[in-house]
Amino acid sequence: MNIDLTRNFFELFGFAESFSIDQEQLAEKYRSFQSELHPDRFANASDQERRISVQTTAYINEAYTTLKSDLKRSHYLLKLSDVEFNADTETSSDSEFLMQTMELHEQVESASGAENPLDALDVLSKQLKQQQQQLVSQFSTQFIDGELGAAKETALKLQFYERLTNQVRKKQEQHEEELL
Amino acid sequence: MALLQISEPGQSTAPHEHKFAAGIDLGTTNSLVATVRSGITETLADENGEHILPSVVRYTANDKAMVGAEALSHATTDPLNTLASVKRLMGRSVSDLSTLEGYLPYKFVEHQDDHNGNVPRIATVAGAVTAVEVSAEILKNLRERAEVSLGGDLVGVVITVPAYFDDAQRQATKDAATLAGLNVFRLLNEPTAAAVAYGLDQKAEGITAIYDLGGGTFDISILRLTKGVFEVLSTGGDTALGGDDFDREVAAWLLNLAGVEVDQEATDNHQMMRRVMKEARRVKEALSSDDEVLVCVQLNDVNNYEVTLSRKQFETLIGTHINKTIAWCRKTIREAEIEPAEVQHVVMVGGSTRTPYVREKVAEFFDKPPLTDIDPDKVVAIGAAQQADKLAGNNPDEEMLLLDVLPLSLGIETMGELVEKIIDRNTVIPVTMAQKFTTFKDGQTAMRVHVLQGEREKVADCRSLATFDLTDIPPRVAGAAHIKVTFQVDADGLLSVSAEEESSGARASVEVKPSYGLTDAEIEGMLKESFTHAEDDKHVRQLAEQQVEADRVLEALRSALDKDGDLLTKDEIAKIEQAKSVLLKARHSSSEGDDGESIMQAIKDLEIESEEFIARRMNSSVQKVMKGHRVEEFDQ
Repeated sequence: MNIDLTRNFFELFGFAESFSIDQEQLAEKYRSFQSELHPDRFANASDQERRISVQTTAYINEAYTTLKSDLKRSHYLLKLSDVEFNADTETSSDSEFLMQTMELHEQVESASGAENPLDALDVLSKQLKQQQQQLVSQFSTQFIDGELGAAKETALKLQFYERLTNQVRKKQEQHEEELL
Repeated sequence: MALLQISEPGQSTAPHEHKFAAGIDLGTTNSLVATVRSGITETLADENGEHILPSVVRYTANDKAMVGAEALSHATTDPLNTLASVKRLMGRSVSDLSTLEGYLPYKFVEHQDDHNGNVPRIATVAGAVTAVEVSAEILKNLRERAEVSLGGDLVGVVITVPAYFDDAQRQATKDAATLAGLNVFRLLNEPTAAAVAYGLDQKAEGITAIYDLGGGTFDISILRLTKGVFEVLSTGGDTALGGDDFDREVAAWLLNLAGVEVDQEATDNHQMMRRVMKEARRVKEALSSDDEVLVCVQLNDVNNYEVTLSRKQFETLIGTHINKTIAWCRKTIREAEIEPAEVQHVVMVGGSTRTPYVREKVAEFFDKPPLTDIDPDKVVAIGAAQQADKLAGNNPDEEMLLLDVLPLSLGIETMGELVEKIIDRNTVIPVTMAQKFTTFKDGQTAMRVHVLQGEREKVADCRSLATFDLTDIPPRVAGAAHIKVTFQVDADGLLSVSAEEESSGARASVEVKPSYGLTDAEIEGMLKESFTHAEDDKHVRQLAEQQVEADRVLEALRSALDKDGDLLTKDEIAKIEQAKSVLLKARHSSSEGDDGESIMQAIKDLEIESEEFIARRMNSSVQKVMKGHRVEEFDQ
């Protein structure tokens, strides 16, 4: 394909390479891209044009999803800053945090075993969201200050929270299915 | 106010010529076709004035297949050749049959030939048929109805599918359209279509829930509408839950009360079951307005069995099914990461939402009365027609883009029969994702990738979509060859795969073997079969198809050059013009017995010549948005 899509996601959406971005502007720009490039715009065009439109919008979608999510955006920024890092295999080396993760796992289990598990899990999920939010602002500051090593640690912690939140969601679904 | 355009006599109005397009709701129980005429969207009636076409096809030994009400009237007398609810079989495998809820009164071909793959075939007097072929008959009927009513050929259609249809089910629907000779602009999720119908009427901005309870499927979708763009926040549902279940509950209650046991193999039981189901449906519909209804049906003896069913009793019978739909609502709302109170509108779709108890329960959960202004049976077809009209280019000024999401996660099989997710559900489509693989043996030149769809961790719990054989991998030591496999899902939610060996750049071949569903060769075979009567017909048809395609390519190129010709140098334009004139000549110089081969080649050559131009156009669109200007700003 000859489309020049190698530029980075921030540049594509007209942002400086920084963690905090204007989400409204992001959504606005995304819609503009979609209105110009979506395959539906090429319903009457040749198959060739439709094919290229699919590839282009797929790329725009990837860029949008990456910039929209705090977690994905943090990982992407580190990658652009040449910080090596594998979110699937690496974990935070902060021993205090590791203790905390064990406690959090226990909290998920006990909420799931509570008398009213759906309510208990809801409460826990709100707490997790708050803690996640704190990590997000921490990352933002560290990245601005150029503390890339510390920023990577925070990103790994965020990754942990993401996985834990997914676990909570799965438990919620299980309990909901039991109600069916 | 828009100005009327009046052209000089004899001058072409080509760019603004109204193109015939239609929206098709291909339902489990009923199907509809709708179109936009003079600004009004309406469903189209058959010659008897009926808008709803029962999704029923009857096969006979000698004649053409019978479709709709006529076929349905034979349901009791000729049950094994009269096929209803085949939508439930779309994209399903033989091994799925036992897990399908409900009773399917057909005879399946027992010993499947290898080349038929895993697609269930139903035995009829006209031979074995698949759900795809049966659906194609329904689509052909609707196509004819539309073309007669509009007085011309359809340039394209939008066909709706349940939001929760997986890749195999979507592919099967598209295959049916191919068999029916339809050009599909887009497969549109049914709830999205309903939102289009209401969104245009009511200029809603905000979050909308679409509750769609049809004959055989239930869907709940949470959509966000912002500035004319629908985003599907989440979808959920059950492909085997619907108003037919209400009928079955009433039937089971009746048979239980009468002390009748049903042997599913006996033919006379098929007929009795049809009678009971028909009566159950009548009673259900009557209970939407009456408080109690007299049930009256002939069972195994000559006498009619009579009993009264009250609305309260009926509500107890169907309660579990409705509660199931509410549980899905709760789950889908959670996935959209919103609270029920944030939902501003609830749209009711599907005939089963006429049941007052359904409306009551839905209103209770969302804490607001649902919208029921548009006929719930027609609202999907109406929305699809409006979208088809726009995609045909009949409304160049109006812009409404529908963004959809992938309904179920896509994954691949890894060690230990586990599934590794590659693309998560609810990802906005189109989407591409690349995955790297490596060889584990020295000199390995091939590998097999198994693609699955679903949310569960084990292979056995997900739906197998296809296996891909990667061959022609350059022989290396183990782990040295890196194969990048790219999965792409298009705007219809359909998957395609390509593969590349990274170090050498060699493209590995990918051979797709759908786990169920028909291969391209089988579809082609079926297409050919329908032309076996006259070999000439086939040529005529192929030529006509190529001519239509040539016109489409030429028209698309003409409008592209008009708009963005300045992106090309004089030399480049000359080269494209050259290829264009070759195609024009091939298009108009076809002689008898010509099968369009020369046109096909000329199209290919033109495509090669204009590849760079198309890429540049796409690039310039990207640039335009990056710079923050939209075309409309200049028009004002």
